[in-house]
Amino acid sequence: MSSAQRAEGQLVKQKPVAQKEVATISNGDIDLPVSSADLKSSRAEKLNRSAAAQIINGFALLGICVLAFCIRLFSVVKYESVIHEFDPYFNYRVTGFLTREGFYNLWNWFDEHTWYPLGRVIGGTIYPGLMWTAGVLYNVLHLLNIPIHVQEVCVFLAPLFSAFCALSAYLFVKEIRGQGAGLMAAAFTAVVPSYISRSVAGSFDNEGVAIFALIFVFYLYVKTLNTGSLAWATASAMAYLYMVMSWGGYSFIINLLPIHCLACVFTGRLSHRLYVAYAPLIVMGTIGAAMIPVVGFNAVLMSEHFGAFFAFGVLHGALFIRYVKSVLPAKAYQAAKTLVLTGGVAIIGVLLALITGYVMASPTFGWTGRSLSLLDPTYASKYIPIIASVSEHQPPAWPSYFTDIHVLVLLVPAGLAACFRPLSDASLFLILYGVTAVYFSGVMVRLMLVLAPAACCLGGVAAHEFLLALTRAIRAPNLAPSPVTDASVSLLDTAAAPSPAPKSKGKGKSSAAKAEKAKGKGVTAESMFDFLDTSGKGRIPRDVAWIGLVAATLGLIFYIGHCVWVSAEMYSAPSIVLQTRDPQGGVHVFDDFREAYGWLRFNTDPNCKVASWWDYGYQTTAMANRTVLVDNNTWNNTHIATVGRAMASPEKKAWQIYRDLDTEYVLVVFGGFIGYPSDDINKFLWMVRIGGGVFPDIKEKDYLAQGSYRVDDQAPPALLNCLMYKLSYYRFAEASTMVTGRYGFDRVRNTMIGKTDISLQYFEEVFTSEHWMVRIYRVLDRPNRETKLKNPRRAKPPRRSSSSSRPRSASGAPPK
Amino acid sequence: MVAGSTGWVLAICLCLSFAAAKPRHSASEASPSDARLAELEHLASQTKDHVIQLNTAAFDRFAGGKRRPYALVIFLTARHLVDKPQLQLGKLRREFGLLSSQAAKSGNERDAAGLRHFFIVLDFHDSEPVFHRLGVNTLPYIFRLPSSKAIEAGAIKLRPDDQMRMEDYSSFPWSANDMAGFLQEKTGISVGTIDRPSLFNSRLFPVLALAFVAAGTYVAYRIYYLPILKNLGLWLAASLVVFWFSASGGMHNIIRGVPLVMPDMKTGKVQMFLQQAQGQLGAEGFIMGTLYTACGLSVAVLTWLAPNLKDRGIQRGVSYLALLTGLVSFYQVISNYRWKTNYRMGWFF
Repeated sequence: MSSAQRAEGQLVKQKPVAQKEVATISNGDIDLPVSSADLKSSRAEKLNRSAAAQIINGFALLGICVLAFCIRLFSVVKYESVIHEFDPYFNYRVTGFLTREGFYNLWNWFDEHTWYPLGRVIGGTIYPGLMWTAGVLYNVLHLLNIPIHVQEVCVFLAPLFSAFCALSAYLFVKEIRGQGAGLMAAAFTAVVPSYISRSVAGSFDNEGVAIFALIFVFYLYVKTLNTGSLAWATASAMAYLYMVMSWGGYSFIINLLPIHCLACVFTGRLSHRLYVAYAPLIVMGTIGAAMIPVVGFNAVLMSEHFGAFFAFGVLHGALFIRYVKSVLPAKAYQAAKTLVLTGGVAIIGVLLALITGYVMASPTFGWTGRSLSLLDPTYASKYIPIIASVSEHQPPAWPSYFTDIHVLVLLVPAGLAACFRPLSDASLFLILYGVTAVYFSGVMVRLMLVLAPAACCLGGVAAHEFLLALTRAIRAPNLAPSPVTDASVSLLDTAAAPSPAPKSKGKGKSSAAKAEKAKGKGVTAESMFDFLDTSGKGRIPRDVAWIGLVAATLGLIFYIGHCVWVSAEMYSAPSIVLQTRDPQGGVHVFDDFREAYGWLRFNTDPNCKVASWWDYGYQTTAMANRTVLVDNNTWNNTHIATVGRAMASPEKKAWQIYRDLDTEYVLVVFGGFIGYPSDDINKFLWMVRIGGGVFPDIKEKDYLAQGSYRVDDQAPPALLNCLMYKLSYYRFAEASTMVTGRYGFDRVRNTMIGKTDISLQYFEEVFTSEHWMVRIYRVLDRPNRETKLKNPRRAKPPRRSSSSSRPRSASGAPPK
Repeated sequence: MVAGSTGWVLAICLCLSFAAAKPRHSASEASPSDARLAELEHLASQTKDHVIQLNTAAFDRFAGGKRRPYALVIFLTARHLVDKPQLQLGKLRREFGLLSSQAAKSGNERDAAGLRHFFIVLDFHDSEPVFHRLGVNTLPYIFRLPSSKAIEAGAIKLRPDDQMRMEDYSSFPWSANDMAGFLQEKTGISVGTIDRPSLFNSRLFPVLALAFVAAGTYVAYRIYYLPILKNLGLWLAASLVVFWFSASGGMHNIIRGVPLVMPDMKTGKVQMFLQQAQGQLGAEGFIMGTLYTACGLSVAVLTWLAPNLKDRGIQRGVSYLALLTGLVSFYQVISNYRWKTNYRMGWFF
């Protein structure tokens, strides 16, 4: 138990601690006559207070869980119980398969509805944790005769696991800094906006369960680190396996743990507890990870995992050195050290050469593209447009931090400082987690999700210590020293303290500082800190404490207000259904996507193939139940580039590409009519970039006018004649007068379009949704007959055909 | 029969004389060009990166005339502007040199018609009249001078296609690869992958690597035992720097390559903050990161430093200072955030 834990005040003392202190008193450490009656009443009082504290603690946790669950229900209250966005539709579809066909059949599921004509081995290419969790929950509920639909299970799974995540954060921080900090961390985690963004009801995505798993693994690791128990080590390996099953982000754990292990080894914190915490997790975890098909041998072959093995080796080497030191005389040990160091450098050199050779043989040096883009932030933008094109892979600017973690971003520095006072194995782990997470979040906005729990834990520690310091100052008698608490460790006590932190009696300078000074390892210039009262008895002035307390309380209320507002207004939109509010307060619903997918489902052949940009692949297969060429899995860049190329090509060439791929329908998303900015025209440059990355005939500069992307009359011919432009703006010019009163006015780009008389020769419009957001075209078997073709019934060829060469559809009427 | 044979002999003689005369005739015309070609080849071989620096007179000599048996790829630069960071002329010149050396190394300096291409640099100080004749007002300027382009006294009009235009390339400064792409597009010459001089390709690399590993191990060993590394304050400072940099959007600045500040088009003043929800300027991010960190540190000071100060007066002063810093930073963060994002939080009461 750390010293800070003891300092939490009497309210939250745990039972064993109370017993220990009573025993200390009875041992006569304090020179007071203690009668047995006093002892009994003191013990009873402490037990009562401890019990009351535990009950309050339990209710607080329950409240936090309820809060975590409820704050995520805005999406259901404001919209409806519906699966959100893109990836969740795939997960939902897989979960549906799992509940129908069973767990084992999922492994062998080959899905011919996606990536036509390639197909996809679903069982071997997914992280099944989320679906399995939902499947188990579904089966349990049905076992209990609760006939719930699988969609409802999927919708409410993420809020449920958010509550679990808050509990994990409590346990994790409790291990590091005690119950008070744990409660603060849990409260922060329950409502942190970054996590809400991926776990609102309906957001059935991997992160929903994976963040819980991440924190739970950290908790179990720290628990093992504090206890040295093999049982906890086994539990942490199992939790790690669940994490690997759930999310590709497990590579964060497998790199963070070795960093912590190495940090412990090189800062003199090597202990059997570290060994028990680290070694079994790596061995069992790696074997377990290799059993998940999507990871397989990557668990030992990809560079991302090498750090773990390296630290594993170093840990054993360090323990071996310690053993040798204990059995050899000092002189012999020195000789052996020199020998081993020389040999070690040689062996490491050879190993490095071998690993470098292996790694250099791979074009990405053995790292996956996504990981590489974390290490070299400019990598993705230069080489992997498919990664760079995703909005959640963009680097965040400063407002993102305040939106996503709010006041926690202000508390993290204080939390980092708190973890250094005193530094224990567990708090070192939290520091490393915080620092690495904050670095990675700077590279990709998506990884703000990994930072959020770290910020909550650090913020929890900081807020707890801050409030403690303020309330202690308020409660203390004026200018008189208050009773000593162990939490205030002297600033000189900066050297490594073993974990669990050693007791400091508070008599003058701490014993740890003295010991360090004796070793000559502590801060040598003691006189530098003469102005400090190192007894730990100091308090800040009471007036400052009052102002600080009011400010802190307002800050925390502001945090809750922001989280609720962000959850309600920013992160609850399912993006499959859109809403706008008119000035009178009425709500207008745009349900075009479901309308279009419904049309596909009920009006087309079940075996037909639908082409669209990859964003809409998952939704098309899940909601329209039709085969798609590409989807959000993005595993085959060439295939996506083919679709991009078709969209960027002139109509005839695109038609040929689609005919070669047996495509019967092409779906485009268009926002110019209603002002929906996330449409295909705005995504078009990415189609060109991704297409051009594989097919050199597509050049981005052909689609730019003077370096800028525009759709008006300045647009270059390549853009005006490409399929995407034609399919988006076909018949649009007349229609736009209905909403804007201006002929051919695009409400997203705020401009008149460059080409209004668009005719189609190889495609036929078959469906346009109510607000024109989704437009579906049929790929014709053969092109429309051109009027300038020779009419066999006429004896003479027509003299002039140029003015009448346009097909009839150019007049604006939809072709029948 | 004799007459017939005489006729044949005459015809053969005539043919021979024509055959002999024609090359002599063309040689008499081409000889200056050949001399120029040979001289250019000589000049190119004299330089390290096969780029020839010309002045006005030399330009007139080598580029003048109706036709040339070679083509020129010309890079215009100006000595006094090399230091300008936004032009990156020095880097462009190095990349141009890389392209030239790669072309020489690969032996692909001739296009499909067999015309040799030379890489030329003209400096404004040496060739100001040429700049005027070309009508060049802005740098960088890279263009190709085809062999068929007649260069006479007076203005030189180039086809837009023969220049590298800024809008055709997404990134600036252009790399040697961009220039190679331009060359290939215009001439069909493929120089292959640009071979950048790198330490990894050096023969000394294994030795250097071993020396580096040995020296690195030694240095690491020494550093490991340095007393200052036992001071946790150092590590706290390091972790705070990482936090400050990331929360400032430092990575955003690197990846997006945003400038620190921007001149305001309307007022002409220096603009430090970008008033749009997306993106940021470099200075803006660092100011906000500093405010985040300052607020956090003031909490830390109030929690750990201020209570432990012996002198009550100093303690009060430090406490109020920390409190004030914290509150001001907090207020600044919130007001800047509201200004930037235009979000107005609602309380739902």
